[in-house]
Amino acid sequence: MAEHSTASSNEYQANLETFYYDNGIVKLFAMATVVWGIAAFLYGVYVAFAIFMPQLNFGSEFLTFGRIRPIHTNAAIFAFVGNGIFMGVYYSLQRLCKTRMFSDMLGKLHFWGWQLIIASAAITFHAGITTGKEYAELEWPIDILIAIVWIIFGLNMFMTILKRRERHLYVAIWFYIASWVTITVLHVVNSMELPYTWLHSYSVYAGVQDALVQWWYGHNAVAFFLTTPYLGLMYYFLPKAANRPVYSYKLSIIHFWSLLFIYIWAGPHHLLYTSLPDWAQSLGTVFSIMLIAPSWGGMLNGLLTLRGAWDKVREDPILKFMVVAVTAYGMATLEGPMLAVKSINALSHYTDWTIAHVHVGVLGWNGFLTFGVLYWLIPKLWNTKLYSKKLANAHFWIGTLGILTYVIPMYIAGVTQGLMWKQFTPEGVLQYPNFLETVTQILPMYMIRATGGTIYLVGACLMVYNLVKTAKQGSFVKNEKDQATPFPFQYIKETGERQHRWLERKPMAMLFVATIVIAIGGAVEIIPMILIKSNVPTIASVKPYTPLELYGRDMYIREGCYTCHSQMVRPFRSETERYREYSKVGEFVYDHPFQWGSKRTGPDLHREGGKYNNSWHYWHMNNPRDISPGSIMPAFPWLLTKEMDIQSVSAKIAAMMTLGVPYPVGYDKVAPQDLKTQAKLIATQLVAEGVTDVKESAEIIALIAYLQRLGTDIKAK
Amino acid sequence: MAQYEDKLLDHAYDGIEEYNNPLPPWWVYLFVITIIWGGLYMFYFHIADVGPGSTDEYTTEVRDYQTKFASTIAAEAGVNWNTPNFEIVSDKAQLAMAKDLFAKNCVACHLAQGQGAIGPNLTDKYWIHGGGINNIAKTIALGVPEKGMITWKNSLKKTEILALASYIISLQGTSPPNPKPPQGDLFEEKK
Ligand code: HEC
Ligand code: HEC
Repeated sequence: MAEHSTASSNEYQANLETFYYDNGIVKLFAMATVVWGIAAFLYGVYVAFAIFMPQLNFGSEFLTFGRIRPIHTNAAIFAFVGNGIFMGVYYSLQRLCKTRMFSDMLGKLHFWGWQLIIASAAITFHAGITTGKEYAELEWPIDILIAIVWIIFGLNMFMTILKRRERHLYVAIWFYIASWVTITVLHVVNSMELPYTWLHSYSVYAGVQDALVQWWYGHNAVAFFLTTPYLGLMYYFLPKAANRPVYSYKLSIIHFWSLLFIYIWAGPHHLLYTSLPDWAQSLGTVFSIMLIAPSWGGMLNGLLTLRGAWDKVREDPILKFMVVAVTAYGMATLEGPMLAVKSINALSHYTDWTIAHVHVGVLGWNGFLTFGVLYWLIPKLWNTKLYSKKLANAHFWIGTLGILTYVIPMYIAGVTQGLMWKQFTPEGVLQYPNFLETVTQILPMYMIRATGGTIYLVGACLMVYNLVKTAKQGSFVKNEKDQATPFPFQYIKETGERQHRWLERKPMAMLFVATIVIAIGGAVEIIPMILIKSNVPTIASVKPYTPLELYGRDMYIREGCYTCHSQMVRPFRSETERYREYSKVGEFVYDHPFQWGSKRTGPDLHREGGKYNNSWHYWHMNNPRDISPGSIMPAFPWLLTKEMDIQSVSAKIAAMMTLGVPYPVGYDKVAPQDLKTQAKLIATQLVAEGVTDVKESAEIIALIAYLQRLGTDIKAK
Repeated sequence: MAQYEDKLLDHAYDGIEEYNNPLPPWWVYLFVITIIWGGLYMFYFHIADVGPGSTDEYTTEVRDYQTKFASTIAAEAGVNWNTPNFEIVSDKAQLAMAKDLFAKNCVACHLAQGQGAIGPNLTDKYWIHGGGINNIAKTIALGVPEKGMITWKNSLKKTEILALASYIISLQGTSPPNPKPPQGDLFEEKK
């Protein structure tokens, strides 16, 4: 079959050229994939235990849950899957283009740049340096670095495509191109932030606009980082591993373009029943439903490619991994649209159901596809056979068991807690008014989940051993020889060339069309939200934060409170009974960035202001279990002693003023004084409530000020 | 799908060939149906504007509740917490329920045996807002929001508040360990 490769160019056999593929760069990315994969799983297992054993942070701010969880998510997405993408792209692109990568140098820059980003992410997150926007938590200098490295990758990819020896681009490359351009757009638009120190910034968007941009980004990071590049990998590695032709070229075309166009619209399904205007929510719902078929197109093309090879699947662990990966993809992409239906979302949102859903995707689809590719690739790179097929099979079964042990308890936990939140007694009052009761109910599920994660990790360790042994027994082929004829400058049209065939030989046109196709959905949703005033009715009583409250807000972001708390009371009676008045869009206009959250491991905090007195918060933050026995919220004792950094206050206020927050002219100069005055007041109250040793300059004062302000701008009934 | 004969296209990429199979018909139907559904959905909720929006749903939910529980709501609303005239509850089941409620809602501030922490000791004879069923029930119902005691009448029913107050009275003189020092004034029940 391999001989078939350049059928149309038989006549040019004469100028057969010899060249070498760069396997060195593939090896680097493969090793990074494995190393960061293990790291991401380790962090995952750690947070899985820490969520029900809050003392696991050993009282250290650097290990607190709110900071570690983003390390886990970012590591899984950008370090593990990210390196996996690059590994697959650098291997397949060279072969599909019949050429070496354009530049070894750019490849190295790309590789080391990306690892530098990951290392700085780990360091800054541990240190609490974060923007507080999920999956885009990195601060502005790192955002710029990402942009540069991403462009280097793009340049290397496009130059390689331009010097290809194969006239037409295979479907895998379409996916690479579309993913690259979309991620570029998403990253640039969502990372618009105004720096106020070398390591800190505020999002230029506020409230609902920030929420919309963020979830347009967040959803499409799933789409164009976790999905489309991996579909590209599937289109290369699955037919290769199965040695079967792809089922349907037509299906590739249709599902590729429809996926691009529709995916980008679906972001608002993360904001159902929030303060986002209804029209945008509805767009999120309908485009999610319309996504089912395009997503399934990919799954079908993958699974149907294996028709007639099922006997092989039973034998071959690589194919087994791939089949489960593609099936997990199909399940996740059916479940996703279901979760985007408002009535289902009303139950599932903020619960562990979402966590189950994403883990079917990442552990099943991304994880298993990566494992399959690695088992196929490493023996090729080292010119040998896999060290142990038996171990790989064991990994497959252990991994599958790990996934099941992870997701089943999370589904149970999600549904159970969701129902408990909504349960009324026959007399019409909340059955479980105490939020904590709904948490303790599902703790056993958390424990089983942590076991599931551990099992998955054990499987991955088996793989590492197996791959290392494989590499040891072979010898690495740094430059792999191949031959091909360049295609002639003049193109003799295929008889009856369809338009798409034309596009397939015009990479720049393909890039252009893809850009247009992905730009439409985002533009239609985001531009009106920013320009049309009626989307955000103003509320006169909503005032900017005081400097002290703003300081506290930044602490809230720094400590990752948003990983467990939402600030968005949805318009259900079960929520207004529990949290009071549902949230209004006009209440968030000074929230740079928004903090609506996506998970309620603890209760919603939007109406927290005035609910308890100051000393309650003081003792609760010092150790939640002193106040709420059995609470799983981590303790934050360092906040009681840490001094506020008054230096940065003027810069914070000045930045907010630049962003249009209406402080009086010159207020940034007096802000530090105002901060101290308010802090003194709160400290005095704390003393009056019987707290001894309060320091006026302690950070806890600012956090209390913020919590007491939350949701108090409008008078709740 | 067996009826299609797999025909190979005459191109291949790095040895990967593709079949010229048509789109699976059920897949096409699925796609078309979801698109039509999407159009209808947008039409129903936004263009024709017939379907209820998020806040309309909420209004309906609240209205339904108000109709269904009209009598209870009226009864609760009719309670005059400021000048109450209640009888202490001695029913065992009611007190057991109150004990549960106390464990769920009150221990955070008053501790498990009522000895007090953020909130005052409830087992001594000293009361900031007065002892006895009427005063205690009133404090629980209306709360002292500025001092950190929650207004409970929004989440607890009258019977529950009365049971709680009676339960607290039953704690009088239990002298649990590490009590908070007395606050407020000595209160003796007038017989
Ligand atoms: C691991 C998840 C988690 C993290 C992280 C977390 N919390 Fe909590 N929080 C909870 C849980 C669970 C509760 C409910 C039990 C309790 O009262 O402690 C809670 C309760 C609260 C409450 C009381 C809410 C109420 O109305 O009763 C406040 C206030 C609060 N958290 C603030 C914070 C702040 C501020 C941070 C960040 C510094 C934070 N939390 C971080 C889980 C978390
Ligand atoms: C968030 C903390 C908190 C919770 C929860 C709480 N209380 Fe209180 N409670 C207080 C505080 C603080 C005071 C003192 C108010 C004052 O100083 O005026 C108080 C006072 C009281 C008093 C009056 C004591 C006196 O000396 O007059 C009673 C009775 C009482 N609480 C009962 C309850 C009951 C019953 C519950 C549960 C349904 C409850 N409390 C839950 C904080 C709380």
